[in-house]
Amino acid sequence: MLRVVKSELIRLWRPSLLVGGIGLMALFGALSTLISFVGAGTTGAGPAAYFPTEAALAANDGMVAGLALGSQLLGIVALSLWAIALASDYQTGMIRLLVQAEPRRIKLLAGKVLALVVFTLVGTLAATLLAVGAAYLLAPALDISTSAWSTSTLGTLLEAYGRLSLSTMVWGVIGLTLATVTRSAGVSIAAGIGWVVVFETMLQGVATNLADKMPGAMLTALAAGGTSAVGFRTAILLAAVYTLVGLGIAGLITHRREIIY
Amino acid sequence: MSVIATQGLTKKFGDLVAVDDLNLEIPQGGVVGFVGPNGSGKSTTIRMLLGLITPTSGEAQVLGVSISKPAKFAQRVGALIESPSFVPGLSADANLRSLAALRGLPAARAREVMETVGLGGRGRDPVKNYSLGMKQRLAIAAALLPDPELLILDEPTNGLDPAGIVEVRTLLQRLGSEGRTLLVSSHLLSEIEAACDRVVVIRFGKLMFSGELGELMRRAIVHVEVAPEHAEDLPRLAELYRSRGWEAEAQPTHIAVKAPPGASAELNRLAMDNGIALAVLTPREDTLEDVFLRMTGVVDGDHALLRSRQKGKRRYTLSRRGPAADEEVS
Repeated sequence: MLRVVKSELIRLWRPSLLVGGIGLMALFGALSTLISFVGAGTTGAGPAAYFPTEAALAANDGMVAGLALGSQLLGIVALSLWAIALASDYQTGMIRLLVQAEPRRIKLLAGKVLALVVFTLVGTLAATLLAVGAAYLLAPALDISTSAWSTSTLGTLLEAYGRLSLSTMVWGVIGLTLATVTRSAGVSIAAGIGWVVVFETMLQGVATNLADKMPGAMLTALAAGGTSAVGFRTAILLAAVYTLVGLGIAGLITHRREIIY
Repeated sequence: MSVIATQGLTKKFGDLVAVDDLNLEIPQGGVVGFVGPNGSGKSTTIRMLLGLITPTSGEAQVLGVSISKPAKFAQRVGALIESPSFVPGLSADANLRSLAALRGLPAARAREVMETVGLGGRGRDPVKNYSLGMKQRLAIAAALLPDPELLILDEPTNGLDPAGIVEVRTLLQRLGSEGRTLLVSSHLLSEIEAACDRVVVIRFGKLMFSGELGELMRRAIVHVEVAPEHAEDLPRLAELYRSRGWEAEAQPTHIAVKAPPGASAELNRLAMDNGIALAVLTPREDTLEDVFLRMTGVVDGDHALLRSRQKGKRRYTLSRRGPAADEEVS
């Protein structure tokens, strides 16, 4: 298995994915913190409803409050990254070489997933560190107290990083599943973003309870440690179901697919 | 032992029978040409042998192992399937290191095979900057990574310039002489003729011939090409030869008389005695291309070949079959 992971990491560690994946995650981590701090206390409908209050920012986990707000953005990056990594094997024809070298296709897929997990963990780490750095820079300028931030800093950071990583990886699994079905990164990314940004938003208007169980809402809850609509436990349970179903579909298709490309 | 054996191997895509009850035995060692018109089932057969697609029915073994267990022979087989496939933004070296890692090979092996195919100095360049010929060599390098006993190459000279073709041909012959078995699929019959010891010919997914190249060439027809000085004498000359028992086929520009090269003098004398001066009198033997076309018919892309032949031109250089063939290269 390590051979497959190493092989995959060599291919993932290329400038376009480093900049477009890890770089973009780090940037979105910092940007979401900036927006959270600037928009703190704003109330109303739309995105403003999710802004933390100034008191929340001054709490011991205030330095990572922006990450929950930006988790969907990071998730979309992960979805795209995983979809590109999978679909490009089919689009370039690399899949022929890979399956010929390692015919145990489930092992090949599992190795790819593990490599993408490593890649995503690096990305979310970069995002968390930049978000925290941005928080420390912005707090004094916006008169937000940071005295509580020194209370169990490492634990708070690890917890936020863990939640964000879990959420981002489930996004990735969704991207991987879509790409396995469609063999196209573009179609997978469009379908993923279209579902979360358009469909789930429309669904909120007509069936709120159902919409709260959809991937976008559930993964936001997972990254935030639970929301008023979806508890953390429910979010973890749903994430596990989505992950198992996604990997199951991807595994079945990968195992059975005729490689005629 | 056969390195490749198939028994009733069949693959259907819906109603289309791509490979039809194929029974094949390829012995160990040497370079084997795998030829057939476009859409004849060559690539489908190769994909089944490598475990990329599943046969509809039938059995096959690669290096004595059933193709239903490709993991058991994957480390002993290298392959180039259709066009070269790499991550374009990644260097050639990184692409090969990735494949070497997948096979559990050290990174140094990637550099070795780059040297073997003459790309030693270009390893750091991104594959997207490679010419098609360089990509083709890189794909051969990838196939060589496991130091395979069996090398399957689908159109290995695609995109190569003449010097590159000669280089790859030399490489194939060297690899074949090292005790490996090479199965080389190509539509360039001149390449098959120059590089292969054995030939497998398929058409509509069915085996047409499998054996040594010499055995196939024994099916070649020997004839003498005759053209009168004045074109209007052509029908009379053809009739004259026929009347003397020769099998003579009138073509737009000449007559093909089925006769051994030694009959040239007699054909010339006969024409002269009847007041016809000859402008052309050339003994000819069928090329592999002629034998192949007679065996497979003309299908798909080969219509272009037929058209070019009707214009008195040839698409391929077939240097082993007499000087006239070379003169007609288009």
